[in-house]
Amino acid sequence: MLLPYLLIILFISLPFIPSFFLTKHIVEQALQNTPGIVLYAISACLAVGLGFGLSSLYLFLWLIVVRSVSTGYVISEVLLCIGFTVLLLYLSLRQRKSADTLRRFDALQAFKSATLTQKIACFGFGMVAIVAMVLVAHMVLVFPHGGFDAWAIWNMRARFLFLSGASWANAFNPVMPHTDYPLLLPLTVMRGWVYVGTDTQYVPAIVAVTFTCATVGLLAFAVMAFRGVLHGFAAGAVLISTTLFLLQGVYQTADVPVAYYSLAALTLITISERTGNSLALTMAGAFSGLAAWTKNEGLLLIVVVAVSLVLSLLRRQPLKTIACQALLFGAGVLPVLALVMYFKVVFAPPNDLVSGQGQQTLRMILNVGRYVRIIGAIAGELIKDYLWLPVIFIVLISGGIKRAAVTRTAFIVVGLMSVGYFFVYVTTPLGLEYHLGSSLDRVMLQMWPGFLLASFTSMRLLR
Amino acid sequence: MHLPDLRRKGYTKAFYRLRVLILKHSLFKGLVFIAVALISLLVNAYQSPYLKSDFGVMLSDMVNRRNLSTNVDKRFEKIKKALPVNGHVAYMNNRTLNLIDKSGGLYQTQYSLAPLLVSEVVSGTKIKYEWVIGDFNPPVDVSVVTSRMHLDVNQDYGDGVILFHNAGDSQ
Repeated sequence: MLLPYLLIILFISLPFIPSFFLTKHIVEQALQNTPGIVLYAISACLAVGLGFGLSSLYLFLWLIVVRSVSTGYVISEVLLCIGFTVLLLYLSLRQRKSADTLRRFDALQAFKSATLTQKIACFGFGMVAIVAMVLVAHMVLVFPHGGFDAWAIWNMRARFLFLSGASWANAFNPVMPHTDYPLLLPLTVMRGWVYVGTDTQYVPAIVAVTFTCATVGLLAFAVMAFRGVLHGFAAGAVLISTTLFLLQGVYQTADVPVAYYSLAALTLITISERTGNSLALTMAGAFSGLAAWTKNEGLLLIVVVAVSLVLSLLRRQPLKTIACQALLFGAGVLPVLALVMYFKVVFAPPNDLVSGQGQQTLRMILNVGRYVRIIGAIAGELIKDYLWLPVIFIVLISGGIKRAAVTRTAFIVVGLMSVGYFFVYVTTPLGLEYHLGSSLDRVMLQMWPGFLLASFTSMRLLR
Repeated sequence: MHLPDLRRKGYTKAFYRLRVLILKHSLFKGLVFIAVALISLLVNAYQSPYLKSDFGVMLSDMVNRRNLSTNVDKRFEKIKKALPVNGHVAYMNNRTLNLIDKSGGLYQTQYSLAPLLVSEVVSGTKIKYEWVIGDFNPPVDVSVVTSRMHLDVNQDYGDGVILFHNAGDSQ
């Protein structure tokens, strides 16, 4: 009776454990003055996505090489995870021995030493989180299969991959919609089903809720590490109280995972910017690659992050340093990107937005009416779903920016992503109204956690 | 930000007083923070079209499993057993017959019947597959379908789900 639940726990925890040791190693090195509890929380939130991402890549490689999934796959994954865990644990203990920097999970101590404001903020965040969890639980029960995109694209692909056996490549038959979309989410869901042995609805729902919680946790604790407890809880509460975020999480679409991977990349870039840690930059590259393995928008993210890194360093660093940083970032991106490209070339049909470009593209670019329509739709979306945005702008504009703390690259990334998305709509070969109506809210949501990270780390809250 | 900074920045009197109040009283600041976050969550939740609907109705749907998404697999459970596990079948609904369509549509059927591939019948073209799934909501006169599309009824599974045999194709 309990076995399926234990297997679901195994499915999540198996890739999580070695990923946790890896992320902890990087975060611990970079954020040396951060309290233990914040450090562990950031590492855990990063490990969730890294674990899901790497295990889905492993499953993809397994399918290519072995062609079907059996008990052998589970055994190999268990052995691989145990091997990596032991190795990372050994390295971690060796480093600890030499550096003598034992970081405690000092939750109680941290709470005792907190100021009254911080305790109240913690309590407030807790209350908001509880209300949000109740809403999420309710929505999961109402939409166990997720929203339209979940059963028309993501979970449908997962079902094909899981149920087709050796004919798993049928999952990319063009009779189904968007078969060019990358596979992180379908393969993660399939992994869960392989562990449980059946295509239960629990797995995609749990994966979706895990990504949603990890995004909130990562944002709150990253801002806490960069700017303080109050900022962290405020940022987390703002994200939780964006109901569209909770709803898309429950809908099991890939937009919350993309938002998560973008946020993780920006967090690690900010860590690297502030501490000069090179491993964090490489890891940022890996997370950007995983964003591209989740959804096509991730490919834009890779380009934008690379350009933003160069732009933010251009005036301050010599060319040699910039090239070095680009190489470190590339070292993280390339292995993941290579597999994404392999999938695109071998299995995926052409993307409708790319293959639909032609002579009419120039006409669309020169059509002012399209710009007006897109700006109008964005404004409508901001009013409908982003009630916090005016508050954040008022705080930032009314002298609330701490110049020394401004996360330049994160702001540039969010800005360039917005410009990129804008021009995707300008040049879309699909009907503009249809394309805006079916995707604008989700696309804007992908940048929201990254924007909150950039804003709250740069923000001067009242003391 | 320190209090003298605020004066220097030329804030209006009321705004200045509000900020002084916030600056001086941690408790007040904390309560404002909680209130704003909770209000935002509830306002957002209320705005959402999915949460706006009657909570009682949603709860009843949930308990009775009437929700479309929840029921989608159940609806095609029987027909799935009659069809091959792999392969390709055709699909038609009220829209194919140019009638008002309230069915879940092609993708929902595809999702339920995976890994069987399902292709929508285009009205006026030859059906390429041996088996055709009918997904009719509201129900239609089956004799009209069989005569117009040149199909034979294999079995009616109820709830608008009908399996047709395409005698014109031996694939």
